[in-house]
Amino acid sequence: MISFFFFFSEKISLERFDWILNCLSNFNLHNRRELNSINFFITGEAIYTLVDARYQKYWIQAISRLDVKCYVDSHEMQIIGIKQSDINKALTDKIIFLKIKDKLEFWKVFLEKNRDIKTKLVLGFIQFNGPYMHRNSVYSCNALEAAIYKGMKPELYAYLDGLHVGHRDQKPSAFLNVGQKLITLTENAKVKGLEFLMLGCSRCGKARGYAKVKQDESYYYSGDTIPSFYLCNLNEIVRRFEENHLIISPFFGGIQQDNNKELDYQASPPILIFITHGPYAYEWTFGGLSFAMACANHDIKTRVVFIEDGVYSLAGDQQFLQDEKIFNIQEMLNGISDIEDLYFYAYSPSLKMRNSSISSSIENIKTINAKELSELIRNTMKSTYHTRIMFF
Amino acid sequence: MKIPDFTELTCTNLMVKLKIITKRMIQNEKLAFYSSREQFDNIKKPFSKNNFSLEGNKIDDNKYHVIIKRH
Repeated sequence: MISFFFFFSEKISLERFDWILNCLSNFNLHNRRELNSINFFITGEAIYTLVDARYQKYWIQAISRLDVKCYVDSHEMQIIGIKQSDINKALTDKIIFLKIKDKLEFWKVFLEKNRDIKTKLVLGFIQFNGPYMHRNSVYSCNALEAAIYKGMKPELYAYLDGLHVGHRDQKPSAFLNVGQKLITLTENAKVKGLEFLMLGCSRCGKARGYAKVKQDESYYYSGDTIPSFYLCNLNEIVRRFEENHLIISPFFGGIQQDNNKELDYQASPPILIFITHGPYAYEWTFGGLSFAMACANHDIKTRVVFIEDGVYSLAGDQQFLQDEKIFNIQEMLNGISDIEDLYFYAYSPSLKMRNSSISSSIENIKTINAKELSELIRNTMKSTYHTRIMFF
Repeated sequence: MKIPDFTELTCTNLMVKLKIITKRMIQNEKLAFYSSREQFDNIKKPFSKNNFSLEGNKIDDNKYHVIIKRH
């Protein structure tokens, strides 16, 4: 029996919603009793999709399935000024609007639905964005606080601009002080006998000017960060992904399967990485490929799909001046494509939509359509209890 | 020929750089460079298989002379 969950805190593009639902519908075709549940957990800007007319047919299609449930963060809904009466009645009957007991209610329910005694009682949150520019640093604090409340060990992995959540001496005038909140959570965790592990990628830290002072073999303390926020090689963060515990990020998915005697409950969860941004305007693609490479080097079954704007990484003859300090993404892709258990795919509907095609210089990449994407997911999760879906 | 010093690169960036360079190497060609201890620990396993061999000699407290050979 297979269960999917998707956690959306950011705006979901129509394209993304379409391919996700398309993919899920293919699971039903194989065996009507195969699927146990599909749970959507939505907060933040993702809530706008419930009222946005362009998304109605997608939500109605999703909700019409008996195995789909949608849990909405009523507290965030209140903040952005949306009422249940603003939402199409065809949806409200099927959506679970969580009561606002406190700001953590959504997260408590999320953890209750997704934590499992077979996996360790740990919640990991991988943070990609800095504080204040993105509200999702508040969500990570809320998620980790809820984890502590539930007796789960909290872990924060700061990658790319996520490093900045751990910067010392933050003094925002109008927002939750994220640095101070993390310090408070560390103290709260200690009271409950839990250790709050906070790791920041040292490559990202070095790029962003964080000073480094060696602490011990694996972790470094930086004079620029809050106490207990350690910088480390990306491999130390990926080592956490070898474990079976729940890990989420602002846009994340997970698959669990059960009641299957062939499942290996000890195996590292495979990972599906969707590269959704173009190659050079942001660090997403380089960061995603670096992360994928590190996962594969840790013997984690890793599948990378270039999808949405991610297909732009594959197009054209990308050239640089000799002294240009930038990693050629296509060259990087070709360089790492022979790593064991790391495979690359390009989503053909995204290519077609953008009138784009894969450069002839790209090696070892397979084009897949919607049905083949479902098959890829099915094959990736085979024989494992838990599979992670990440978006870069 | 001057041996490149890659000790200032992050482990991830070094790994990517080496993957790109070694992909262009021909049989029996060698690549020599300097790495830090942490980098050396990271690259040992991936470059000790699949037609590559790696040897490293510690030449300073945190510096290794590394040679990767393509077979």
